[in-house]
Amino acid sequence: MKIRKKDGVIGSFEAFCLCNYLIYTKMFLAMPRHLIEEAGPIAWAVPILVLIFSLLFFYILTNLLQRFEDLSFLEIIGELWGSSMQWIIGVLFAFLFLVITAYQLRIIGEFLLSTLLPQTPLSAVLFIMVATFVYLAYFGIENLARLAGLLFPWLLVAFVVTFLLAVGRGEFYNFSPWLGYGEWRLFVSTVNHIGIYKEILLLAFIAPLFRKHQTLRRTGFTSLIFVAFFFFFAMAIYIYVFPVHTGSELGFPLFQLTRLVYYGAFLQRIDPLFMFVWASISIVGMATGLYVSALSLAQGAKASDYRPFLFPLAVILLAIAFYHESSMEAVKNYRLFPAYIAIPFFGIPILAWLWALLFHRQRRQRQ
Amino acid sequence: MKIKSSSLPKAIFLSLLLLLTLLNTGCWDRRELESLAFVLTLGIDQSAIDNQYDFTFRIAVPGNLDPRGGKGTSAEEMPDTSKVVTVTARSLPEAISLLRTSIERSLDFRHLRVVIFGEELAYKEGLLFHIDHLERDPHFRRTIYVWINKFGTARDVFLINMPVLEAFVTRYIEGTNESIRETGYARPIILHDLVAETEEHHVDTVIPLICINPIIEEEKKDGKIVPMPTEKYRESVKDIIGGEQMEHINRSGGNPLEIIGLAVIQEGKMIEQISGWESRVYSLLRDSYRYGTWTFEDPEVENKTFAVELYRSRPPRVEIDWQKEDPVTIDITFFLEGNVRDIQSLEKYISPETYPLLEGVVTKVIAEQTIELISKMQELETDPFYLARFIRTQMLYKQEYIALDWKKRFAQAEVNVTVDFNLRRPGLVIQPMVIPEQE
Repeated sequence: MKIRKKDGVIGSFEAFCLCNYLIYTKMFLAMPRHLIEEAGPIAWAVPILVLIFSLLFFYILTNLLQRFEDLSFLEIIGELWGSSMQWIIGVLFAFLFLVITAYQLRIIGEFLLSTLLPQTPLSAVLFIMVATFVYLAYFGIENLARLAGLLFPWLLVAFVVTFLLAVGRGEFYNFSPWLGYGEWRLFVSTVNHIGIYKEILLLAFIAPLFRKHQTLRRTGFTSLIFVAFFFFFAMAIYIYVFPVHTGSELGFPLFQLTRLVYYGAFLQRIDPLFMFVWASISIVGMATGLYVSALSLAQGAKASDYRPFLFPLAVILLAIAFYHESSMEAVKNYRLFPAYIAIPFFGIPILAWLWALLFHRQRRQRQ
Repeated sequence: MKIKSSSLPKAIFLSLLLLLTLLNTGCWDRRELESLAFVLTLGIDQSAIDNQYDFTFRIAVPGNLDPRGGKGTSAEEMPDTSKVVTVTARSLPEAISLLRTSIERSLDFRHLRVVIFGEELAYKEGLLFHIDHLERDPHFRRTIYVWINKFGTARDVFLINMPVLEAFVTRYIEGTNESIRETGYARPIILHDLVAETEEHHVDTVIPLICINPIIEEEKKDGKIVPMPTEKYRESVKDIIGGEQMEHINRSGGNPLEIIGLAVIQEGKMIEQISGWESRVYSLLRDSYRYGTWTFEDPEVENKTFAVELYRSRPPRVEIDWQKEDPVTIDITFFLEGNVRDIQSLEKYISPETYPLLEGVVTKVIAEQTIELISKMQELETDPFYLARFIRTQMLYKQEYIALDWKKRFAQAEVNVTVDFNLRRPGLVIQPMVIPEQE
């Protein structure tokens, strides 16, 4: 099945950018605060430890995809466990991607209201954002990926410059005591955030769009390593500037970091630069989330086009985003559920791989 | 004209985008520059009424600003660039909303540069009750400076401020903070530092002290500073060396305000004040010192001095044997370098052979002043120098660090100070001037 009628192919760089945006969106929310609260001064190590697991997982995933070249992840599920399971798992992943995107949407909406637009109704912010997601997702992965690729170098420079400018406020001793609250707390934090890079599964949904399996494999590994470096980079600067106790209580941590940049009258108030980075990454990331959700439903139902699902999903997205009464409630749940969401994200592909390994010896070649 | 079916979605989305551009102009949150009143400085004092505070706001009047900037200002011009308003209320947010009843524009704090606390409030109740709003409200930035009035209320500081050069108070604040950075007579503290150091274990924070000089206060008449006659000035000055004690500097003319010295803050309350000289030693210990001009007594000629521009060459080395039983020993080594700036006695000290004479005085004085300041803080069981930072970098676990009980151990510690100081350059002359008759 094609992902969409007349779908083309996706380039390695564009797919890499898309993965980065989709995964990195969460870093602009409350994640740095949660990490520093759980692991203390060694919170910078969590993204690296999770990376080790994620690389292993992605190796398994590519192994599975290689066995069924030219098939997407859900089509492989259909091949292994039948159409019903393909539909069930398609619906499940559609729901999971939608929930993740909805929570991110709500928290970003609350962020805008808390900082820049205190008088604007939440509904106005969320409706506008969802309309943008639908618009971006409607024109498909190719457009999303090209947009992501076009913006990427600018965002990268702006991101690095903004964060490096905040370094002037930091103290090296903030990284000590070196093991933070101890190895056990570090391990627990790693487990809690095991799903940081779970969205890499996106590549499995669009696998048939890659010209070669090797391109997909290379894109996935590069994305994981690159995005992990930037999780580490932002986290290290956050710890360097904010001691553990202060860093554990800040709303919108990375935004607060950029608001500290002040080098006299001529270099200050660079937070709008950060807002540009943050908004671009988040909007493309969340639009990709909505796209994958619709794609998952379409692939699960073996529909020839994902686009009819976009609008209904957007309505559900808004409904979930509005579900929580307060911002803290949304943040609290968004903190808790990723650890559970990671179970199907990692569990189902690993199970499918084991199944293929044990019961489906016939290799399928790309046509 | 018939629209192709494939063009229809594009047309819809385009219309939607156009609609969004209208919405994105921010109807709800529009903030026109002409409708805003920018608060530049904020003062907080204990009120005469129980459980209430006096909040003093300096609001900019941008229309009266001279766009050329940096232009000298006379006493009559200064009040026109800003207005001072005081509101008594139970809390800062309440004061801000009450102030709105008398200000014709929306108050905006995005250009607020300093928060000044009165001495009484800082001593008795502390500052922390007023910090939360500054941290929580997005209008305020964590880069705003914090000062304390050494001998009075924050409101007095607002009323008497007469910058020598700057017509705009924000520039005055920036310039003043730059000056204290350059002289080392205080440490500029922003809200972020105050919060971070208050929340950190085993350290007490400091805040720069601003004070009103009574000599110049006396010279202020009808909104002007008129320097007093020389005879009267000679009667007004005290027998002190500027910066050594907590007293004001012997000075006439200029701004009645001077910023020198630091307040030591423990759990949000001011527990001690340290002088300008002590503040420089503090900065050396806290490693916030960069450079400044120090004056020392001449080693050979009585009642004469020599001056050195002293800068830090490396961060201080502090070794603490914290794992042994009390009292712990703290060995501190400063690494300093300097350039000769004045030899008042006209003695020929500029040669590699005689340099040690001057270097010996510098190392002795700085070591003595350091020991003296540390002893003073030990008596108060406070460590504003954050010496525990040298211990935390030797530790693996935060629990261990939290359980250190540092302030008690610091109070009993034996302290040794070594100053590694080298004179580098003599300035633009080698030996001082020679008087032929005295040769």
